[in-house]
Amino acid sequence: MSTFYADASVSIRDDLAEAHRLTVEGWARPGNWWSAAERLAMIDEVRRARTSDEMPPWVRATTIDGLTDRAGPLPEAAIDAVWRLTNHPGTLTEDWYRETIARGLRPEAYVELVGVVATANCLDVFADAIGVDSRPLPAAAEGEPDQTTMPGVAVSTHWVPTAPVKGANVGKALTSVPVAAEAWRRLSDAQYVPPEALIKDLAWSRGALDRMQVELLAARTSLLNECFY
Amino acid sequence: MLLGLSSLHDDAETEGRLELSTVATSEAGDGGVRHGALLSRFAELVHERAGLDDTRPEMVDALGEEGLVDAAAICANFNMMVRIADGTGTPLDEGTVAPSAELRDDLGLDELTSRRVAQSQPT
Repeated sequence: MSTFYADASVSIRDDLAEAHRLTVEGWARPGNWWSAAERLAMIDEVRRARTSDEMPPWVRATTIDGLTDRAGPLPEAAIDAVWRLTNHPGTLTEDWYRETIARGLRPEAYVELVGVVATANCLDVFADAIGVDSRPLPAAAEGEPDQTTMPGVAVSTHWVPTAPVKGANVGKALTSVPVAAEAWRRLSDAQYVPPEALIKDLAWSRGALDRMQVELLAARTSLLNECFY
Repeated sequence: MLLGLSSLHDDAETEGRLELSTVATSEAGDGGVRHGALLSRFAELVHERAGLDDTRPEMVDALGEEGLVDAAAICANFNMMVRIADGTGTPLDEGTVAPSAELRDDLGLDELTSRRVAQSQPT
């Protein structure tokens, strides 16, 4: 039995705990475009954003004194993107994305940021839901991001560049940044429905919940976040 | 859309009884899903980060510890997915535009800021 959630009052299945453990470990390693220290700083900003007082989506967090770690390793455009993605994902527009890139973020670096923010929200929501504290962060590993653009990456169907792969659009979203796509896939496989069963086996179940119950939770959560997709 | 499709593959107890109103609010009842109102309310409380201490025991009574953990994992997963989809400008997949039209209308999805039309895949 995994010790990663030893503080939980319920038993967490091993494959799920392991996927979460590997996610936290991955945050503390250099990504493709950000250092480990920068990735961990994103998690800190996610946690600040989640516990802050509510503010309108158009207000940049970095314009409010003391709200964010402006002395840390992240550029202001990245901090503001972390906060907007965390607290107001349903309000994002293509204009906002272009403005964020114009403030100095490379598109692939932005994609990696989306991946880190999304997985951080995921694990912190899970912690809330089962009644434990957010998982502590490890120390940042040494090393530099490789900052190499993958062959074939281009803007086609999404705002962001994607790799030329087949499949559902949401599965393509992070493919320009391998480390982000891998982290997403690992969590999705452990938490939702394996890709091979998604459409082909509409009765697939892990056992505790049937597929309709799974899809109701998915749909209700998406609507609460005002997600069209 | 997968909720609708999965309802066609469920057993006789729930088949054909799905009501999408339970996606819009937990106050609409079970909507043809076993413990649908409880699950919908759990998702709401996770979103609001409130009232979970009182609801977890109810979830365990109805669905068992594994059910609570799996429900938490799915809520967590879709808090990840919405940020990926909306943060990257992910459009609807071409093949889902027409089949989801009625559902989008019923739930008011076409009114959302995050609405994005499907784009043709490059050849």
